[in-house]
Amino acid sequence: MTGMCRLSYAAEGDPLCIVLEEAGVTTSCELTTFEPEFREDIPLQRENLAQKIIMRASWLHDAINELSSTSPSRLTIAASPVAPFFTLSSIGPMGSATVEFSKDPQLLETFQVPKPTVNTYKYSLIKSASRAMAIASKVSIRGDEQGVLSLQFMIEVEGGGVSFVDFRFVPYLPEDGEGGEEEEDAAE
Amino acid sequence: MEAVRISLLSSRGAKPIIMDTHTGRPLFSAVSSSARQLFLLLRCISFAPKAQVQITPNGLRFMAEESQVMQGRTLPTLTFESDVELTNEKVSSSLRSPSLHHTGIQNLLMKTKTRRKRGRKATFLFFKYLCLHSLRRCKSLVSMTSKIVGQAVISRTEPMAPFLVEALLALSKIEFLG
Repeated sequence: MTGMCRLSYAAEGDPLCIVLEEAGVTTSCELTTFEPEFREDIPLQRENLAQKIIMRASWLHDAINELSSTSPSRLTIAASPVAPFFTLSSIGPMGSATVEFSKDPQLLETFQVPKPTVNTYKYSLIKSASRAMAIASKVSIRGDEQGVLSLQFMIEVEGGGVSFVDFRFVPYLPEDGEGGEEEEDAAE
Repeated sequence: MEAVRISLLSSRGAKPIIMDTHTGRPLFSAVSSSARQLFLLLRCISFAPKAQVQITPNGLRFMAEESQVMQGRTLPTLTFESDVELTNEKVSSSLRSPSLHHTGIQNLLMKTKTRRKRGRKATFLFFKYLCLHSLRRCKSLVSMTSKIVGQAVISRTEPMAPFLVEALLALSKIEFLG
């Protein structure tokens, strides 16, 4: 696709203008701008990472899709320095399923997990990252001591460039008896 | 306020593309020679109805959030980072500190609800178009969303003209509603 895209923003409060041009057809639209209402970024403590795993995004995509057969509401991600090294599991009304990844460097390009960690996330939110999983070449799966999960996708684009899409997820509070650090309220 | 123009070139290092000058000196202006790259990236975070756009001297950063427990963000300009040019060396202070603005048509949707019941569907589609399809291939965009495109103009006579008449008629309604 050779379509040219122009973005312009004249001044604060003005609409964001997007103009597309291709083969004699010009399409323009103006998007109303709003006052920002987001709070700060979900904080990932980079200096306190509990896990850092880099692997091919398509394998993560496959694993997440495999788990969808159980109609899960939650996804549990566990990483450990000993086997099983990295597992994704889900429990739903239709049963439970677990995908285990071995520590083979051909599978997990980077595997830095100093101690066992287990965190649970809302499955549907993780699933929202599917599109990125599908088109990315690599994913960096990072989790900090509080269980905040970062999925950073590296997407190769035409012409050899690289772009990144980053997702962050707040975990569920750990249930009694389970491992894991004290976490902030997920406010859900 | 000082104005700045940021020109995003293609990663192939093509010559700069014509800047948008109809507004005089825009706060931000960017050109990409490949809409597909942006489209693919923005589609990754299309789970939310609104996106936060952060304008910085390095380019644009799009962020979407759901229930305050999930955030997705993309930095499409990383694609072009090595080619980003500040054509005006005096970067304005407002651009040094990121300026934040939401983009969406939720307001439009609300207005439509109150003013015109039948307009709701059209507006919703308009919203989808803006979020998901704004960077889609132009021709398919014109045919797929002819009734909801904000503005569609054709520069030469083509068989698609009937569509465009519809598009422009619909546009006048949308503009009125907005």
